[in-house]
Parts: sequence; structure tokens; C-alpha cells
Amino acid sequence: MNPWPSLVRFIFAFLVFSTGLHSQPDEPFGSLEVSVSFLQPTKGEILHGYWDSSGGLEISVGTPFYWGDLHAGAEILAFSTLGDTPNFDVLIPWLSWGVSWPIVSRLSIHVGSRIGISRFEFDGLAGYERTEIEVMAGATATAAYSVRSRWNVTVGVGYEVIFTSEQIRITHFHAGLAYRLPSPQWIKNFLK
Amino acid sequence: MRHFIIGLTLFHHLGAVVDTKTGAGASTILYGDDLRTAGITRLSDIFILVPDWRPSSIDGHSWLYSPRGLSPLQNQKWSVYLNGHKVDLQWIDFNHLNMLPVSIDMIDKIELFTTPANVEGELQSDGAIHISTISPAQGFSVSGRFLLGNETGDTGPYRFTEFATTNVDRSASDGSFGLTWAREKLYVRGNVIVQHNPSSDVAILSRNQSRVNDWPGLHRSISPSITVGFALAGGAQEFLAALPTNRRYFYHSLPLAEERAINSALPQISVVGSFPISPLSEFHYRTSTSHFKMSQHPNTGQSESDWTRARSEGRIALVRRDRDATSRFGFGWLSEKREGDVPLDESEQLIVTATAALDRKFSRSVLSTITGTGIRSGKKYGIEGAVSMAVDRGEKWFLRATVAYLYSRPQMHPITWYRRFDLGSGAGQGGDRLSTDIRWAFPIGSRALVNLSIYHRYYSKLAWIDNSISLYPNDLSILSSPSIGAETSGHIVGGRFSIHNRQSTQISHKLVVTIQRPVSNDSTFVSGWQQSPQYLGYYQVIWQPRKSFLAWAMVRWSGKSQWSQYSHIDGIVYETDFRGNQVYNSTVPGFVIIDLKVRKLLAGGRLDANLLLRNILNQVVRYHPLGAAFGFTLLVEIGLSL
Repeated sequence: MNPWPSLVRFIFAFLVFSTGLHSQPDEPFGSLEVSVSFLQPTKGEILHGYWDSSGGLEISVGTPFYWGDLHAGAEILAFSTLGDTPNFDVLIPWLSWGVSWPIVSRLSIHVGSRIGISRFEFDGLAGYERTEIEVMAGATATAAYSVRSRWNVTVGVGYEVIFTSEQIRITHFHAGLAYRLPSPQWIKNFLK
Repeated sequence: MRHFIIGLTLFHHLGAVVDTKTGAGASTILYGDDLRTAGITRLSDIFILVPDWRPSSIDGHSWLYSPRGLSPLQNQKWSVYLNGHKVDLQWIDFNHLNMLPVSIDMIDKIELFTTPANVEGELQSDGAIHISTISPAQGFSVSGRFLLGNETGDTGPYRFTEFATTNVDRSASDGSFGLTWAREKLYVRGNVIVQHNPSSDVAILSRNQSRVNDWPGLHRSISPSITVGFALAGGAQEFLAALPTNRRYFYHSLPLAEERAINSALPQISVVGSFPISPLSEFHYRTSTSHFKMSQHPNTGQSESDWTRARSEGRIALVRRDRDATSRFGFGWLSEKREGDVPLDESEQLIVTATAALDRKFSRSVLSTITGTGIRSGKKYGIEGAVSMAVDRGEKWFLRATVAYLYSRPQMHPITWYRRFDLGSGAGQGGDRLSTDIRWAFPIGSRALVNLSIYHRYYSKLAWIDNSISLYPNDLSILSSPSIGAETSGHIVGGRFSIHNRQSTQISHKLVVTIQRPVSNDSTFVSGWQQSPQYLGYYQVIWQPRKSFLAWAMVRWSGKSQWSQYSHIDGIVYETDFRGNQVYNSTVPGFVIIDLKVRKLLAGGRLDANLLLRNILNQVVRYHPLGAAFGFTLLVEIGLSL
């Protein structure tokens, strides 16, 4: 059984074949982009109606790679029960690779794929019962608007699949801020 | 110039297979870089790259191999060497390769022998692996690796709903650490390997929930070792001490077809070395002693789990190197004393061997090797011999043919439980065997290398372990009744084709296809060999656009395997959930899976970060009717080298 939703497969193939088309003016690892975003999963039949999400937060750091860019980050989402199941939070550290295209002078689009580990923590339980861990993969599309020389406002949408036996598929909107700065030399030396 | 360099790289593999030190030469050589490039995290993973060893496993930690028909899965007699030491890893039913105290980053090369060959002065007729580690750099050096893995398919938050399923895994980690100091010809290396194995696959769990009083928890194996190398009397010597241990290992007893929670330790020491006697002659020696102890894990309510086995082994040989010939004369011994929960027919055994070997170069390109061994154990005796002829035309082509014969050879049977029987000439000795191997390697242009090999084995008096394994549907307890069956005869024919193409300095491809079939009028012979798949192979692509970054991808496939002894478990349900019934099946289906890996060097090459996606399409991968299924798994590994 192929566990990868068609959308994720399409986006990954698109990224691989389009790397030659995007612009890559930056030196690999030459700059860092720190982003903070608020996340809001869409309402609907996530988790078969047993839980609803009140939103979450995502923090990431990105840098230009040899092709496209790399980001490492973590997101946390809170889920509240709609019945008698326990509330839980899910923390997902992830690694992402993507490409950017300038649209007009201050606006660019970034599309990326990501992979990570989801750590569920359930309220009211202890020991082994309290946590579960599962693999996550997903894709995001983000529009970034430059408001000042190093600041961007970002909005976008993400789609993530958590590979539990009955898969969890989450679509979320995100909005936030990103700040770009030159990479310190020691970071460039470490990453190269 | 670039093409010439590419050509040299390819033909390094072509020419290196003829090694006068190892006589007839290895069938396959894997270099350390091959392993570190591919998705290899443990030693048992190397057989991803060598599918003609036909792997099988129940829990993914202990593996059975059948190297090109040199022995069926029931006879794990292949040997493991580490820098010339013959390492004792064989306890109860398996040769526990993952307990060898060597991490992937220490390896310089691995020579795999699937043709009877002279290995370290011994005729190895059942297959062998010789691992050579990287020579230590002068001064201090430190290395370490840490790996975290997670297999998909957990129930997650659905645990509290009608979509609940059994948890298939816990996050498990592996790690290794090594510290080496070297000065001129003296070196000291300390190393420890730690592995964790969650025995949590539902196909295994469900059989054992009602049997085990107190669930043993996460299996941890720790393999520390210390190696000291020094020069003495003009020759190189090396001392090795190792202590592989298991705690809470839920190991599978093959004859009883059920799991036992045990703790085990296998301390061993070994010394190898050589001295020059004259300008043309050397004295070689190897001696080792080991003491295996296994005991049941507390509160697990089982029997037949307390075993001890003391082993002493050694070999001495005289080697003479003339201009066109190398001759070896040697004697060896293997002594073993066993004690367990059940009475054994043979609790002590001593096997002595005498070996003579001659490697002769008839010209720059023609090499022949003749090896003969006489074996005696008590009143039993046997002989084995191999003749090999190789023609090495450098960068043009390479051809080798080997014929080997075993007669009535007494051996230690690896499955301890069977030693409660008089094993006679059949199961204890693996039958008589005539084997033939032909290998041909040649380049295509300056970028591609083709390897083609075919082999044939004829067995007579090969006894099989008779067993009919059943599961009680109510509690999935096992009923097994193993015994030594009648002797059988038949043929094994097979072949391996590979083509390795270096498309550019950035991209290389490799395709390996193997096939093996039993041919016999004896249905017992045929059904025994059908436990190994007929078709196995892979296609691998490596893309390395920068020295510090590479991507690796592999498609690998396996045909089905059929286990007639397990036919009574067909259709027995081991899990019912919202997806339906999961059932056991004595026919293990084949699979086609894809693995992906990216690797990035950091901090000037002192760190490497690896992301491995194994079985990315989440196909059902199983190697045994009662075994775990290995689904889509994410592995993250960090390595350090200073």
C-alpha cells in the first residue's frame, strides 16, 4: 500500500524537476532566515471528528542550499477532545527542502516538502501511555512579502500526513514573520 | 584524464578480487565507502548489497543467510573473520553478525566468500565474511555514531477510538563509540556498540502475550571490545578481547518455533599474528577462546533457556612464498563443551584439521589454487578440497572457475538444540557436496563493469530438520515437534549478474540480479531450499554533486519463499482491528521496495548527518512466516570522526 497521498507525491516531483527553473542568487549557507508562524488547522474531519485543533505555533531556521533551500523547524499543535478521549499536544520537529520564485519585486512564493517526527503527548496519562511517536511528511506553499530590507510577512498553507496506521492528514494555514540575516562565518564553516 | 581516472576506480574492484593472501579470492568485496554511502546502519544491512546471501529474519536483529547455496538456512555454518581473528558469534540457532564489535565507520572493506576458498589459512566451504578495519591514524582519534529510528504504523491518538491498532514500535536507538591511539606499529583501540531492538511487531507480540508473565521490555545488546596491535619478532600481532551481551532479548528458537526472553554474554579473547622464519617463509597462528552463557530473563516462565558453551579454537600454519607460488601447511582445532537444560547426545566435541594449500601463478595473468583439508572428530572423519583457476587480464577481463568437494565432514552443528540427537552423517555434517562456480568479469568501455557468475551444488546425504509447526487459534501458542529427518539429495543451480556504470563523476548506477533454484526428485530437498527466495536483486543510483553531499536511492526486490513446515499456520488470525484480520501465511510474499538516503558532511568532514527512508512505499516486507513485517521507517544518523 503506497502511504503517500497524491498531493505530497506531486509536490515532491514538482520540486525535483523544477529546481533548474528557480533563481538561486544566494551563496549556499550564506544567509539565515528565522521564521515564526501561527498555525490554524482547517476545520473538518481531521481525526475522524474525535478532536478539534485550537491552533499552534511554528518556528524554523532556513538557509540557501546547493539547490533550493533547507529549513529546520518545529511546530506544536494543540488538540481538544470533542468526546471522552484525552486532549493532546503534538510536537513535530522537521526538516524541509524547497525552492523559491520571485513573483513581483517584493513578493515571492516558496514551495517545500518536509519530513519529521510527530510526538503526541496525552493529558491525564503517565509513563509509556503518555506519549506516542510517528513519522510525518508534508508540503507547504508560502507567499512572502518583503516589508523592510530583512523582514518578510508570510502567509501560506501546509499539508501534513502523519503515518499512523489510520493516517492523520492535516491541512493548516499559517501566517507569520521572517527575518533574514547574513550567516556568521562559523555557521558557514560548520555547514559546508 | 577524467575517463582514465573513472576507469581506474572501476577496475580497482575488478583486479582486487584476486588476492594471493586469500587464495582463490573473495566473491564480492564491499568497501567502507560503499557501506557509508548506502543505507547501511548495522552489519546485517550489508546483505542489502549482497542479495545472493538470501537473508531471512524473524525479528530484524538475528539473521539467517544462505550464501549461494553453500548451505541451506537451517545450517548457519558460515564464518566471520575480523582482521584475521575468527570471531565467535554463533550461539543457539544464529550467527549473530550484529553483535560483532565493529561499527560501519570502522570498516575498510568486507570480503564475502560464496565460493569455497582459502580464508586465513582455512578452507571455508560454507561461506565466510572477512572484515578489515581502517588502519588507525597516528596519535589519538575518536569516532562515534548515533542513530534514531521510527517505523510507521503506530496507532497514535486513535488508540482511544474504534481505529485502534497494536503499537508496532517504540523509537529505538543505536550508538557506537571508539577511541584509538597509535604510534608507529603499536595501536590500541577501544570500541563499544549499543543496539536497541523493540520486539513489538504484532505478529510476534500476539504469540507471546499469554506466555510471558512479565514483558521483558526493550532488548539492548552491548558489544564492547579492545584491540591491541603490535610488532614482535619481525611480524604483526593483534590481540582482541570482546564481550558481546544481550539483555532482555526475545530471541526466536528455531526448532521450538517460539520466543524466549533471555540474557546472554559471550566473552572472548583472540590472538593472531605471524613471524618470519626465513626470507621466504612465515609462521602464522591464530588462537581464541570464548565462553557463551545464556539464561532466562527473570519472571518469564519458560524452560530450556539456560545454556553454557565453552569453545577453544586455533590454527597454526607455515607459509612459504616463492616467486610464482605460495604454499601453506597448517593444523587447526576446535574444541567445545556444552551444557544446557536438556540432555545432549554429544556435550563435548573436538575437531582437528590438517590443511595444505598451493597458490601458483603460471604467468602474469593465470593463477591456480589447490586446497585440501582432512578433518577428524572422535571416530568420524572427512575430507574437503577445492581447486580454482583464475585468469586475470587486468583491465580487459577476469575469469575464475572453482570446483570443491566435501566428503562426510564432521562439524559443530550450529543449532544447539539438535545436539540432543546423534547427528550421524546428515544434519550434523551437512551432507556431502560437490560445488562448481564460474565467474567472469569484464568492462564495457571505460565506464561500466559487468560481473557474471553461475554456480552449481550437488548435495547427497543432506538431512533436514523435520518439523510441523502449528498454532492454537485461541492463544496462538505453538506446537512444534522437531526431529532429524531422512537424508536427501539434489542440485542447487544459480547465477548472479551485475553491471556497475559510472556515468559521470557525479552519478553511478548498479544493477544486481540473482536467481537460485533447487532441482531434485526429492520433494523434501526442494521444499527445504524453497525457504529462500528464487529471485533477489536491486538497482542502485548514487548522485554525488559535491564532496560533502550525496543522495542514494535503491529499488530492491525479492521473490516469495515457501515454508512447508509452517503450512498449518495458514489463515490463523493474529490481529483483528478496523482493517480486518491479519493472518499468518506459510508462503511469504515477495516485495519491491524503495530506499532513499541523503548524506551531508559538516564541520569540514568531522561530522556527517544522514537521513534514511527505508521502504518508502510501505510495502509489506517479511522474511519468515512467523516473523515481523518491516514497514516504512525513518532513520536519522549522526556520525563523528576526529
